[in-house]
Amino acid sequence: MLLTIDQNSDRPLFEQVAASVRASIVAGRIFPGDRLPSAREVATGLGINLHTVLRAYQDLRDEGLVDLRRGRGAVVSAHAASLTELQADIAVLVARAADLGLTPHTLAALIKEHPA
Amino acid sequence: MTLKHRRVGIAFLWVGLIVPLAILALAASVIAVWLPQTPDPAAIHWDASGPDGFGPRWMNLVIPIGLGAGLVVAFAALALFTGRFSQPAEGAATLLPRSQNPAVATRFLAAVNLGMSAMMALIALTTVGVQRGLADAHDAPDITWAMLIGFVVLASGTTLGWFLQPKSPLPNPSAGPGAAPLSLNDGARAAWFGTAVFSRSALIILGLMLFGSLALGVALLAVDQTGGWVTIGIMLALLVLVFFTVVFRVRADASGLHVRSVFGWPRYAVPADEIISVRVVTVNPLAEFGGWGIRWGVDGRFGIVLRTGEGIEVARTNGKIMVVTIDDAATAAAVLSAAASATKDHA
Repeated sequence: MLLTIDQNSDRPLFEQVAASVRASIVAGRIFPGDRLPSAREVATGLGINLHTVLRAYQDLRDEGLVDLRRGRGAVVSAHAASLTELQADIAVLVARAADLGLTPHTLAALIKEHPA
Repeated sequence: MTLKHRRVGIAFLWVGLIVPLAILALAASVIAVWLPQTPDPAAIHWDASGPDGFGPRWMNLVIPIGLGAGLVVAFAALALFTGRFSQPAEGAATLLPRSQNPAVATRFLAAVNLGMSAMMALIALTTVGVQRGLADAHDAPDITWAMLIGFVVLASGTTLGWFLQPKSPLPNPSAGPGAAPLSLNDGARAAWFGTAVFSRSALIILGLMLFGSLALGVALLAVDQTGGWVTIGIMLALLVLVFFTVVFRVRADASGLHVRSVFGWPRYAVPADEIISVRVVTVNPLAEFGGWGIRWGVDGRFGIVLRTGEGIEVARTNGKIMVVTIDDAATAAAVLSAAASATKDHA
């Protein structure tokens, strides 16, 4: 699983780590039941603080995408499969927005405002 | 054939064939002189307390010397064939190892030949020597000491044979271009995490072989205590080794490649500044490395090869090559390639 962060970005690092994991799930590179690399391993690999990674993993757990279990680490949850299902719809939506001259950023803002 | 290859070939011929056969021939001629002075029938087999097998005295000449010479020739042939057969780098894997150079395996087999021929000569000389002048072969003394010295001779002869030969030519990386580096913005960092797992079928094959040998060792206990325990001991040690190499965590990041058993040991690392090139390769462990696990290929590549399929091949500045079987090898290779070129940019 590839994780990337950008230190020049304004987004907090823990958000970037979580987004990177989420992207891997959406792209179907990791599946429900797969074990994520340990937080320590990720922290060493990306050269960031262990707590930053733990924070990212906790956020992913709060979203229901991973289960955190003592001794087993972070495991992609069954619920994460629904993210993969959305992938096709997202691609269509982003392409449609681009046709209309909307950036993904604007699109995201619109989605946030949309009454659920 | 380069000068370096010719030197390796000549050293192999002397260390692995000529000197071992000469040692055995020398021992054979001394034994031929001694044989008439030994009892007939002579002692031809010993257990811990003394002689327990008897036969015609010529057997003490023919069996150890013939066995020694036969093994020397067989090992030499094996070493030459593994070094000689080349195989196209691309295309379907064959049963023949892919190799251009007589490399580590060849050097080792030649070294073993030297140690083994010296051990066989010593044992043959001892079994005949201790029976000179005896009227009855039952009076032959215990020769356990000679066996122990024999093992020391085997080990030191093999070590000597190894260092008498020049260093094997370095392995060649697989054909094809190196992996393109992952494109990263300034300030961006990438890390790839993966797992190398022993293939289930390979594990079953290995398990059956090990448990089969273990059962053989237990059965052997009834006949030969020492042999049985040695077999059991070796098989248990191998089982533990396999156990430690079933799952490896693999990490590719800006600092290089890190491969670590889930038990924390064994672990390997290739620092980014020592990486020359990274390739995505298709690995066939049995054909290219002679089996699964932590292996040296006959062509000199070092590998953590746990299943057939894709993997990365990392060429290092010291001329060594490391292969790891992983899924999504292309991404891992791109990260390592980027890490390697980043260190070169800084230099």
